[in-house]
Amino acid sequence: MYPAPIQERPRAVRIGYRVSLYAAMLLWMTPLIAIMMTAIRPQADLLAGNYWRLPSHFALFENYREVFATSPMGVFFLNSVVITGVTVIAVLVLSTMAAVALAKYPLPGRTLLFAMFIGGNFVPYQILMIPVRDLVLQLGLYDTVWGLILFHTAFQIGFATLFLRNFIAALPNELFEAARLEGASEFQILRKIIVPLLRPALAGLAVLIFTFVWNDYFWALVLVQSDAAKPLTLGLAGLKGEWLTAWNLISAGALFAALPPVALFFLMQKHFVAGLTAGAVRG
Amino acid sequence: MNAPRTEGWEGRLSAAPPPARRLGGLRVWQNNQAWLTPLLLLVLPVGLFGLLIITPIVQSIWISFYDWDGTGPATWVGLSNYAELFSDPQFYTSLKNNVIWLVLFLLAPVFGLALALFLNQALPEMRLVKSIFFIPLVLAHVIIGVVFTWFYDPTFGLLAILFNWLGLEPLAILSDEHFVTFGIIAAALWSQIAFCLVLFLAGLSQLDQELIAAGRMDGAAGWSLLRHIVLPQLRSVSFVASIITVIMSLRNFDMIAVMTQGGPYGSSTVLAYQMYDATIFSYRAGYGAAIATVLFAIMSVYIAWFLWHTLRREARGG
Amino acid sequence: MESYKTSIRNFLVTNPPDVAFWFTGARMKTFTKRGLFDDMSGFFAENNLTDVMKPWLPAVSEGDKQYMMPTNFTTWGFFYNKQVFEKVGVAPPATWDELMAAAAKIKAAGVTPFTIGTRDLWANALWFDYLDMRMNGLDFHMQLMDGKASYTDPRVKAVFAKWGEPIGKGYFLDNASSYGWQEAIPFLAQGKAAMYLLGPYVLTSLPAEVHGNIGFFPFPVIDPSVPKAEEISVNGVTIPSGAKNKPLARSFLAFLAQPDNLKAFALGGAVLPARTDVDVSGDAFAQSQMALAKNAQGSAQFYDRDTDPEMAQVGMKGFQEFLANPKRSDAVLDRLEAARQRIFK
Repeated sequence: MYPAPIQERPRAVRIGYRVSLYAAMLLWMTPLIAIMMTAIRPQADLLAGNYWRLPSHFALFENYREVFATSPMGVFFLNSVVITGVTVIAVLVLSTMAAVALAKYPLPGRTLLFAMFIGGNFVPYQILMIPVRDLVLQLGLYDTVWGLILFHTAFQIGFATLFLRNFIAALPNELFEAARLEGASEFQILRKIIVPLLRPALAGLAVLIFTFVWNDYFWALVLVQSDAAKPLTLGLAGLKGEWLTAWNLISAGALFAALPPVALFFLMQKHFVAGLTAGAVRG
Repeated sequence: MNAPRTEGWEGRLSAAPPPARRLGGLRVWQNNQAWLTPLLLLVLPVGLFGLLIITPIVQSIWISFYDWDGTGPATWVGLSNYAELFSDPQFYTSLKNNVIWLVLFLLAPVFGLALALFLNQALPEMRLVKSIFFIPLVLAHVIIGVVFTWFYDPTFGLLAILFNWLGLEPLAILSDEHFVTFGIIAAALWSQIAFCLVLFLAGLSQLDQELIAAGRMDGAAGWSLLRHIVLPQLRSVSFVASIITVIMSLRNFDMIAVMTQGGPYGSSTVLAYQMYDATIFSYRAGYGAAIATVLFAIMSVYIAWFLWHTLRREARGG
Repeated sequence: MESYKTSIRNFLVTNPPDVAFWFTGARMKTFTKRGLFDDMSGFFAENNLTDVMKPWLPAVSEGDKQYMMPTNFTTWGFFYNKQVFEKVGVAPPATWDELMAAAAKIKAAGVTPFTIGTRDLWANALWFDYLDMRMNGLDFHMQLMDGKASYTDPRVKAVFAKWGEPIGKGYFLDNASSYGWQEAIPFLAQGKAAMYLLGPYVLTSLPAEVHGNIGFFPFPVIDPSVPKAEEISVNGVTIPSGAKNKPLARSFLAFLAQPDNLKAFALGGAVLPARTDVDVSGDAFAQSQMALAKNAQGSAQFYDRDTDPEMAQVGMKGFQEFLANPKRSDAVLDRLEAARQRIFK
């Protein structure tokens, strides 16, 4: 193990380590602590100039009541849920299909296709902006959640296919041959053998894509303009202007928007980290 | 990947028993499903990806040769958008900022590695501590931008209070043309360091323990152990962390849009934002496309590098 | 909003709705030039609107044809904190010198005379527009907006010099570009700043209980020999040429034009209905704005509505830079002039 385990060190070093560990954690968390403190702060504190000291009373619930009463935050939240939910499902289905085809069938040009997926995953969004916006307008999907879903799905297929292909390539071929010998069709193999084996990978992928799509701001800015279709990120950025210096509301709103990915991350941390590091670590 | 690599099942397909005689169409399917299946599987994903990702890249490059306001008729102008771009002072400001972003963002792998080494201990609470360090990674850049904007607020932000406490005049980071870019990068680094931290922690957990034990036996410790035994094993992680960090640094848009809108007077603008600004605010799709093409060309170098690395690893067998 | 400004350009072509709300003036002409708006010339006579909408018809006309129905308008001027004015002992100024004298007293009392947020650029353009109109007159201002006059013209340099006085004396809010236009409003409401050159959005952004403390005065006179033009931004509604239900759209517009409906529509957004016969007697602020519009000797719409959108973007960034660094005035104007020559070639 590197560095050497702290348990083997003298007591003073162990204590020093713990102290510096918690100090570093506190420093690292300052921005988050600040917004949590502010989310529970009553408006009166801010008006009185009490920005950073202890709140005069716990006002989290009244702040949230205010947030939902004065803004379409509920609508933004639902939009985010629909956009992210539908995209995640569509991406999982489509990229499993593509990954199986690329991993287990000898296709001419499959390396090229594979390279296309990886490369496309990293292009600067800006080069896609004008044509994608036009296309979405022409399809009549501008300013709807469906335009965003369509684009996010297409974009995330690249990353997801790359990710799943590595998993599928590692599955032993004997498994499929045996199934085939028993007369299973190609689609039965896909459904009954591959998908169940992929379940952990799909879980990790789902969390990652959820985070990417939930946190998107650029495409929402480009493809949506009315409150009825805005996701939380875009809505929150707009409310920042509307609520002026009501930082207690902005913080409460920001916490609300951050909660789903953070909660999901804590629930599925193992999958998330495994997903993010897949492919990066070995080789 | 330790799975034994065989010929692939396709080689054995011909040995499968002939399909039972059924309806004609079905038989055609059964005889050909080995090569039809992958095509069917690929149609939708490749079609979508081609329509919404690949085609737009080509279209954008094409648009960059036109003078176009986004809706009306477009006029072919050849390279004149590029000529204008290369004489536009804003372009050089953006490019300079892109370089600053890129260089400072490379601190993320360094800090990420340092933090990973610091956290790579087996204390009972370590799981929780690590998760807390990972949080910035799952936060939207918009949210981080909002929080830091408030930090930097020159009248009541935490930073202003810190400055006052030290007896200094508060610095208005986001309205000072010399500091603004650094202020935004600091916010962005927070989550990028968390990203690198995840990668390096995973890398550290996969170190070859025997090599390290052998190194220790030979008297290596601390710095020399890190340099000669640990770092070489982290080569691949470092490569991926660096390349992705570089790509992220060039792609950054959200924070600039939320924190400064590229201002004051364009001093925190990067190519990605300038492109958006030209297209959305000035209605110059052709010019915007030219900026995007330049950005794409710069990034292609790194994308190609990453592709080469990945494909070579593929060819080596996983 | 910025997004709507771009998307309307696309959906008018690809998927035109039956009615569309939009700006009048130069921004309307961008579309009428391409034939994207229906000719509505007969509409006003048919619905007896010609007289009551007269002041706003030029804004929706191109040649002798009308293409939009004006719905509401916004006037601009100084919103001030009454308590601060009272405490310092100044009255709403009528001339530039009085304004500067008041600002000096306010500054001496430890209050920022002018609050402003320039992060989203546009609020700052009001200062330029008004100084130019008050010093050089509406005709020159419109020439500049049409790209026919130079930004390095001595008259424009004089505007920057005049603007430089309050900037140089530190009368503006520090670090203005740290704030969006809305974020600068609380300084006014809390009495940390005394005045804000803006529109009625100041009031809509504040809770009703503080409205009583906010007063209004028009931009003061600089040169008495120059006719007093005002900045009046007129919004309207149009029927796109590609609309599917034109008769229905027309009857909707006729319905919207009814005094009560138009009033409800406009006051909902704290702006004024574009009809002279709407009763606003219950609302002192609305009355003052209506009077300002009626008495104006000519009007401009707003910098970013009157000039080319790209010019507006370059110009407003220049104004932002000038406010932060008044010493760079020549460099800023040279850059604006270079942009003008490229854009209006």
